[in-house]
Amino acid sequence: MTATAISLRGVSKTFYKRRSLVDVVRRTPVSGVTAVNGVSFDVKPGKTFALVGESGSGKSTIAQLVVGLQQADAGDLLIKDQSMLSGRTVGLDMARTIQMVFQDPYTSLNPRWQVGAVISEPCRALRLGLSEPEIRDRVADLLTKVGLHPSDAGRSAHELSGGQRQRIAIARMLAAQAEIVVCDEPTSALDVSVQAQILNLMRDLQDEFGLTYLFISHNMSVVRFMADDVGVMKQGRLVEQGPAEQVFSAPADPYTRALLAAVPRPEPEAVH
Amino acid sequence: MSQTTIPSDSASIPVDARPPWYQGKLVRAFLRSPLTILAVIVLVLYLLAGIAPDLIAPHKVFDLSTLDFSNAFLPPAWVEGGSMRFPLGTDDQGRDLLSAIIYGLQVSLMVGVVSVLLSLVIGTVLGLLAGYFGGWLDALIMRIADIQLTFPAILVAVLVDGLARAVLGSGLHEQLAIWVIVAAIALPGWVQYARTIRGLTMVVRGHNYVLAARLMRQPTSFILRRHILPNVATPIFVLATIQIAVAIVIEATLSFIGLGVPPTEPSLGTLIRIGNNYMLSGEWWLAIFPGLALFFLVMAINLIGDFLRDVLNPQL
Ligand SMILES: Nc1ncnc2c1ncn2[C@@H]1O[C@H](COP(=O)(O)OP(=O)(O)O)[C@@H](O)[C@H]1O
Ligand SMILES: [Mg+2]
Repeated sequence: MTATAISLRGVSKTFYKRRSLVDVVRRTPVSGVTAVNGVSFDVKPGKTFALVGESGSGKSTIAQLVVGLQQADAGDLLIKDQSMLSGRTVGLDMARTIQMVFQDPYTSLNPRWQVGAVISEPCRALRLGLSEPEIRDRVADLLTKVGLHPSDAGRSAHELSGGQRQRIAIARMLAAQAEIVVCDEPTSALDVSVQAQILNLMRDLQDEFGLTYLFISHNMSVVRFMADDVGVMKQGRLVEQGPAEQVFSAPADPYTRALLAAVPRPEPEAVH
Repeated sequence: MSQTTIPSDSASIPVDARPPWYQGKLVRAFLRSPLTILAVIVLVLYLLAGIAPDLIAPHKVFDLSTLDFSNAFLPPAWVEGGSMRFPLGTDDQGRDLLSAIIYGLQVSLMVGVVSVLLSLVIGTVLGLLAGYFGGWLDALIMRIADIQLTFPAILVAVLVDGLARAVLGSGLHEQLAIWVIVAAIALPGWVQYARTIRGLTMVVRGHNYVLAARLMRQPTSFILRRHILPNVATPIFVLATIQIAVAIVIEATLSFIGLGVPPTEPSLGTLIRIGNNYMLSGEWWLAIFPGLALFFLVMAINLIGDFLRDVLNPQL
């Protein structure tokens, strides 16, 4: 086992506005938004690192950088001690290692596909070497694991509720057999009661499969329930990080204190 | 990681990515719309006539040996002097008008359907590429589309036809006339498909199932075909249906001004042009009946197109 599952070292990402021909001719200065600015943190294998911060603070950009949907401008990004920025390591191997659960359950699943096809997609795409009967068994197994029924494989995505969709997105992530999972606000579009079910499911799956989570949220009580370690983002910078108990009991940064003051302190049982 | 619990009845689990196209909704809405049912019946009759004119037309009107000049200018059967042998009357050469319309229908339908399919395929492919990749490819494709749009479709068709005449020479042009017309109508047609597909693709490419597929390293061609196309195609069916009517009218217009198919293979538009010459001399049926045939065909297609738009669009 490697010492860190994910490691960011001074990672930055700026989005530049597309320059039109007029901009070029008029020599308008290049304007950009620095979404992530010199961020460093480590995610330990088998643990949950939660990134928390208000909307626009750069959390989703970090998620996209980590899974490879965006390329960083500066810094170094290591997945299981392998650099993602030097050379082309972003092949099938990396895809088998790291997967993602997205925020919006309504576009997580192709509405034209049946659930069984959605869950089995990674088995084929990632060439996991399963035969068709094995894939079927796996789909049935995974549906049961995420609290659905094997017969749900025949339903199509648009018939399902938000919570059910997110369970299927989780099953698809499991089908890839990834060790590291980036979860970008996986429950923030769901009702509170459904949120609690999904969070519990994710913790159970973490224990069962030894998953590493980079868990993104703007909700402090969700973070308190999930996190081993916490990083607090503000305007593209990580203003504070540390073990969850420490950040919650003795927040060092005024911004963290403000975030904590803004939410009612729920008992940990409240999310169960 | 080990996941070994295997349920016994997993053989019935569907794991293929076939989209559930058949949602009873379309059928139910159809059965509740008498006008659409009528339009479909009319269109089916037209299609039967267009596909197998040899079986349906009472006379082989383009076999010159069957023509008899003594039958020239007979009025429709129900008019004084008409004959049941020629239900809609005859032309200057004693040709049965009903049969001529049925053969003309074949040409009109063929030009309409093939040119729409051609522009649909071109427009869909270019729209998907522009919308998915963005950047300079998108800029290039959409600027060409913008330029194309400043020319009315009929003008482009006239230009293409003229160009083909110059390049092919009149003999070859005569032989290839139908294909020149198909190309001339298809060429300006792709823009609308490309714009629609591009706009929807730009939305869908950001959907999480597309990002998930990219994370699984699905090939781009797979993502375009299986994830994006099925989710952007619906409005294209509606557009294509209506565009068939537009293409048929453009072909008729070209033929009416004498640029379309040659008189040896007359389309409805050719028949209307020829009939138009006799409007003032009293043989009104020669222009009116091909005109009505065109009118009902275009009407039926448009009604079906409107129905599809009403039923399918709310899902978008
Ligand atoms: N693809 C992009 N193009 C341009 N700007 C972007 C893009 N993605 C994010 N941004 C900008 O980067 C900043 C951080 O966004 P994001 O990472 O989504 O924050 P969060 O997830 O914390 O809400 C925002 O100002 C956002 O507008
Ligand atoms: Mg976000």
